Amino acid sequence: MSASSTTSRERRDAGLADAGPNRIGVIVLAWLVPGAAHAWLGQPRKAVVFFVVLCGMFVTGLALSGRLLPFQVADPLAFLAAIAQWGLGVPRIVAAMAGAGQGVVTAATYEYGNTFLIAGGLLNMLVALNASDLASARSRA
Amino acid sequence: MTSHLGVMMLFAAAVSIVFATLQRDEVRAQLRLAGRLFAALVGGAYVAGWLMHLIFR
Repeated sequence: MSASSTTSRERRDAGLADAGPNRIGVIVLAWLVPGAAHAWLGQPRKAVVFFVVLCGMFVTGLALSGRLLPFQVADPLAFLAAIAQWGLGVPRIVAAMAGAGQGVVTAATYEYGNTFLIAGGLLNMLVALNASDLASARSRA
Repeated sequence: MTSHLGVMMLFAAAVSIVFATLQRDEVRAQLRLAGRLFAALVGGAYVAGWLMHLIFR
């Protein structure tokens, strides 16, 4: 057991709340808005990069006639792709509410669009994990 | 830009930037890693494309 976790436990035993940000809150924030958690954790430059690139990937995916996939348990690959697309919270919700992402199967760029939508969501999951690690390190410090 | 090469380069650029920003803290190190990742992704696609062309033609 590391010294830092002992310090955290001692703090909890003494009835003191950890000074660091709430880890679950950080993950939810990072999932909802790409880069928002990094901005909250004091890394605005990284936050801007994540927001611009990941939202750009999502918009590019829609522009390339990609489809926002529904959850279909009968089709395991489509089900996994839908989970990956939900990695971008607010953009996915807004696009669905706006009626975007119907997908044009006959378009030459249909699969390219799906790849951008899926990869954007997966990358945002990595960003959320990174933000969670940062929050955890802050709590232990 | 709807050619396969153009879209592939756009995808590689986006992935490279996100990974480099995650993995490095200094701007110079981020740019260096992003450049290397981009070159590896695009170069790898070229090599794989040529291998498929030579093997399956």
